[in-house]
Amino acid sequence: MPDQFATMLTGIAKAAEEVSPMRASSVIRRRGDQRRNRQRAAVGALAAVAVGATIATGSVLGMHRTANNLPAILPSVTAGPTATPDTTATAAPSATPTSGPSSTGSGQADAGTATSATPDRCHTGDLRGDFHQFEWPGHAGSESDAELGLTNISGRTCVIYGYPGIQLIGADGQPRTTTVVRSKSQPSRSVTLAPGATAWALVVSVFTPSPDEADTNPLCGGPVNQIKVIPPDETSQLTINAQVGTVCAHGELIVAPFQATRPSDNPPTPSGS
Amino acid sequence: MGPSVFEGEAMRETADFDAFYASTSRRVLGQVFMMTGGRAEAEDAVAEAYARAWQQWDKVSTHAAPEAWVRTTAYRISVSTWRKATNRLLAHRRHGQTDDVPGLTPDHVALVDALRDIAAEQRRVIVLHYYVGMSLDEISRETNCPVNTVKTRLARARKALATKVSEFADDSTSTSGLGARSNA
Repeated sequence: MPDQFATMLTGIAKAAEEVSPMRASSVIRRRGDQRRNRQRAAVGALAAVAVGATIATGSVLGMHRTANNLPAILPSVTAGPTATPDTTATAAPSATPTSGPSSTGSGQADAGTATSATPDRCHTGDLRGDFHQFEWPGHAGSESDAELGLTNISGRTCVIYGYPGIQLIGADGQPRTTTVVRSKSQPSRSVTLAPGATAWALVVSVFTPSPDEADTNPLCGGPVNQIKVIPPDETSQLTINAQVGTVCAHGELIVAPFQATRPSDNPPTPSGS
Repeated sequence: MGPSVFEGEAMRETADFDAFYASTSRRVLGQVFMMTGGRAEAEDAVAEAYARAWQQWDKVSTHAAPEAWVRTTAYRISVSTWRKATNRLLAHRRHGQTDDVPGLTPDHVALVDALRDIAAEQRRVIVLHYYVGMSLDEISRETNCPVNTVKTRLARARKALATKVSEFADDSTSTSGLGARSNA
């Protein structure tokens, strides 16, 4: 309609095209190949776990530590509340609505643990899982954001480092195709969990169908209401009842490494401001 | 590990993809830049989208509109929340460097700024309609939304832009404000 407007848009886009250095096609293909290999490995490992096999190989699940994307220096972050590790109940993740001003998140507490020895890794049996979907203010689109919390329910301090493994379970109780893609949006950190403290990982899924999923019925295989989670470097899983809803993109989940802070407490700044 | 295709087949696929990338990637970059408002963000998203296209090239190459597939994927990547979180972190590191495109006229810059201020979905519809030149029906298909939603987004975007960009105020585009246009 306003022709001048279209002309201006064209001018801007052309300028951007001209100044942008395009990566070589071979570089793009290599990146695609790497993605494919990573996903194959992840799918294989999770499928093995989902059918109850306990023989998850360290070489695959061990990717949590061997992935070459890990930063050389690992900042150690302590998740609170560590000051008064009294009962586990008080430290349970509060059901604070994610909109609205949230009360001080667990990540705000920054009481350092005085123990000199590095605490042991958190084992599956030490942990309880929670999965909440949330919406960042002003965010709309085709994606669903959720946070996966693992709470230390043991009596000792332990450490979580890396990414969770996740398997989606359908309404029929059967495992669904799941592809976990590891986001490097946040650095991997050692999160030290005092008894009762929780580490959080951002989990993003797509709820609008890909072109080849548009005609599926139920859409994208129907709702997911349970997930199985393998904590980093562990081989056994936690089951979490969670209304994940529809997961399209062939079960792709984009997962960030565990952090001491809740993703829902850290909305991204709206683009443009 | 090894792909189960014959070597000749693999080479043909590679050549196909390279040709597709060479002929479309700059155009897609321009479009995605308009949808995101950030150059670095657009470059990253486009590269990632083409990597995903190669990752499933057997599907994408036979898709009815591979270029639309890549554009849609790049858009989704750019609005995805984890990507935003990344950019938020990177923004600190990039402090001082601008994400802008050199060589833009002042009214281009004003429009880019105005576009950055509207919602991503509205920006996407604006770009698809006015720049890519798609009909409402086509946009409805590409964005997977009902036509009415597309209409609403377009109307809202135009309303929001009208307050900032005189070219968009109404159809009888009076060229006031935004400085002199450098060339006709």
